[in-house]
Amino acid sequence: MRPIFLLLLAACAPKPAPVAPPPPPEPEYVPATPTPLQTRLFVPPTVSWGQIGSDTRVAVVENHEVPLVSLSIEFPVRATASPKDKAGLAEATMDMLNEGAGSRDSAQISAELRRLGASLGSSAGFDGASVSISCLRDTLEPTLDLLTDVLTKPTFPTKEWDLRRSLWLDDIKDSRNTPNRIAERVMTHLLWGPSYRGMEATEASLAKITIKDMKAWHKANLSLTGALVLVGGDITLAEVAPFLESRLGKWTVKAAKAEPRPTAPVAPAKTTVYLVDKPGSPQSVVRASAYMGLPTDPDYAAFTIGNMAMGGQFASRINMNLRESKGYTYGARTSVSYDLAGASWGFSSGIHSEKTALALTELFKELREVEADRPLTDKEVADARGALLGGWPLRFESPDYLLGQVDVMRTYGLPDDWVSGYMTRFGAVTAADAQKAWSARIDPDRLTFVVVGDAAVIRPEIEKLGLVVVAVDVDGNAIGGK
Amino acid sequence: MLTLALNSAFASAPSIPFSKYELPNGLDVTLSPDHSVPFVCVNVWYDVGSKDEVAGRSGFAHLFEHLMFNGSKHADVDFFTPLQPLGARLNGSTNLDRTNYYECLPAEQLPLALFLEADRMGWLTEALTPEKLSNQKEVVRNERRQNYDNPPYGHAWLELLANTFPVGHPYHIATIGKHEEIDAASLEDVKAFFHKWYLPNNASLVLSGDFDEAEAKALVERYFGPVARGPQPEHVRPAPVVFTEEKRARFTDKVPFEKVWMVWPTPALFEPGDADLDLLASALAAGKESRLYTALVHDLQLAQDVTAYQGSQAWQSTFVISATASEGHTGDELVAAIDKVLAEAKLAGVTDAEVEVGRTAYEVQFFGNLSSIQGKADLLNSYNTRTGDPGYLSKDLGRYKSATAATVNAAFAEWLPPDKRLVVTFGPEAK
Repeated sequence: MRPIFLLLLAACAPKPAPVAPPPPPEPEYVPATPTPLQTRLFVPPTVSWGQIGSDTRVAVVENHEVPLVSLSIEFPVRATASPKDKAGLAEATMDMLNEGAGSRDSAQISAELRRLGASLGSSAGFDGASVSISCLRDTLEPTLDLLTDVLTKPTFPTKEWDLRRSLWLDDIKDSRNTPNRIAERVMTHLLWGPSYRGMEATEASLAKITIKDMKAWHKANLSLTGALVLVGGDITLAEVAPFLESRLGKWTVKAAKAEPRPTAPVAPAKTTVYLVDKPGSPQSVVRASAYMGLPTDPDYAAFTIGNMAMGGQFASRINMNLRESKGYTYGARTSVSYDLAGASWGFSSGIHSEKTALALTELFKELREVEADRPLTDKEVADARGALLGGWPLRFESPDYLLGQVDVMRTYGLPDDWVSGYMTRFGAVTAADAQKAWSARIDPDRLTFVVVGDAAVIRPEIEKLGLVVVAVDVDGNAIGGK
Repeated sequence: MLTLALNSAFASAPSIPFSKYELPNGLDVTLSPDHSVPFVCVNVWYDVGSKDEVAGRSGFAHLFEHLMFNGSKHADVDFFTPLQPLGARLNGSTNLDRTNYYECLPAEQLPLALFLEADRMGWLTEALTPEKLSNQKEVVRNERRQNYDNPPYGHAWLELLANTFPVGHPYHIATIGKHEEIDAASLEDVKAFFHKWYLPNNASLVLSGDFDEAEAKALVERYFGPVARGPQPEHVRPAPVVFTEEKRARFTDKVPFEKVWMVWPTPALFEPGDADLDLLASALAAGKESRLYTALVHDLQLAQDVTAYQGSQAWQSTFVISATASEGHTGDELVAAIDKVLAEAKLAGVTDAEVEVGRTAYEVQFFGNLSSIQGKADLLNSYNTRTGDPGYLSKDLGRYKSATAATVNAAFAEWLPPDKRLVVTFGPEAK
């Protein structure tokens, strides 16, 4: 602004002012180079272990910064513990727990929770079921009273189930229409068919579920036997254990027979793109997925680091290419996770429709070049290690991280040093380790892709890449010819 | 007995210790040490949002925020490049009212975070190139596609704003902006915006976490001291929008169900009535026992969900009630059912018990915000930017403490007239 102002003044001036000698140039500002301060010592919080009933373990992670407490009970029962034609029974039963319990109906339970400043949730997933509360420290006891009613005295009112089922059917309809949700359900169907994660509720299975089924499922599957109690926040083990013992100490049943672990799906012989047509889509929802190995494999830490460098963080090869160089997307990420079937890798991005094939070209270029002339560098791997290790202390800011790790260690049979050995395990990964683990696990020629987008715009271009393209409906079933 | 228990919990009211001072260049600095984890959060708010954009450049404040991550004169690298390998968590966000940036990183790296933040505050445009601008235009347009154009009902927020606030009003166009106007942004626009708004005297810096105050003060002075003050930018706040009649707008989209939104223009953040309307929203639609949920979802089974909220904003807020129709039901049925509940609630009045429950929920929420150093930093900065007092928390809480059924019902009567409002419906396209 300033120079323009001076120029205007000069232009308006009747005659030029005498020329003054130019001021000496200001020395250019150079900021001081930032140097790190003294390193802080980090001591992770610890878990206090206790027991209630005859064999139920309680893990407590204290944090007294704010007067809040969270508590969950993790049950070793899976959503697949339902008859094959009644998919959804486990989820329905868990969802119905707070729709009536003891002397209270659905609205009264909600009102009481809100009066206490508390919340309560219950759900069944494919790897376990869970009930959780969060509340103020001073309302823990009355909130636990409610939790106890919900767990041990659910009433399963028919009227409430009719409503929950109707809302569930609306949700299924939504999942068949929303692009991100279509991609999820199609990928699940392709990887799992009707087993494990594919055992999803349908209109037909929900119609078959009765109140009697839910009462039976509750009785057979839910008790403290084999459960794990996780407590975090402004509370100690000595304080919370008697609260739990007096309410739930005798709530046990004969342990249900453990189900076998699901077997990971086999990768396709050739990379295949399953395409769901959504005419007029401005963007394509693109997902890829592959199961490989187990989280307990010796190279899992190296694979995780390799993935960080490839696509697991903002400044990674894939995101820096597809987003920051080409502008094809708001973001492209790859992720590593694990479930009962093993470890899996995924790619996820929303890509401008007309750039979909170009983005896939760049993605494959990255996946192939890392195997050929651009192996992971020492710097990339050191940076990824730094990101994981440097950021680790902040995860302990809330008790949730450590308690979550306690839960997954038990659910997935991870070794005792899963948390305590974290720094050592990831700190030891070299560029060669990461490269080897990545190469061993990711085969760009054997991936499963799901794309939800405008087929007329994107299909011809994707086919030109030499990829197999199969048109599927929102349930993942092939439609038409090829 | 329960009441006693609750009162004792709130006797230790949420609070954040802090100290505040101003640099000679006008930068507000708030320091809030917290040694619970060996991390520090550097949090900067600029008092500029999409409401401050010039005509024809919607989406610009947010596009600019993206460019803040593409390098500055003395650190011409992607902002993530030096920070990510340290384990930093960082991001920025833009809304109608303000723009914020933060990085939480290991405490010993505080000098690096301050250096980078100061450099982009003082010397951003020297590192700007046409390539960076054109790349980020594409990224931002893809952000719009991902969050607004592609998802079902994604345009609802855009239409709510466009139909509540008239053409030319700073809140008329949503922060994400229009494709063609994002595309029209030039390097000159970026420079002009930077020199007008991105000034130390239009910004507020908060440090929260594990640091020594004297050491932090010296570092702040070292890196932010040389940033030049500029002419104080002026916001042009329009007169509040007043509805004089009911307006209905209907849209079709690739959606499976009809969904309706009712909108009323309401008092701005922290103005009288704002907190009362928060508590009214809680009584109307939070929890399965709430009035709207009971009627629409539980008893009549017309809706899958119903929500109500006071969307507080710096210049004028909106109170919104929305509901999604269940299979086989219509938006018109929802509107009729909501109207009946509102009429009955107005007649009978929201009760003290309902107000108390809402108050408790807000107090718990405040405690939740205080459980992370980033939550604290952002809260301190929001108070400082909006009120000039980082310690406004006690006054903010006081608004909820002093609300009663009488004040909530008065706000209900004053701000939610049934015949002066906007009703927006999104429904499926004809087959």
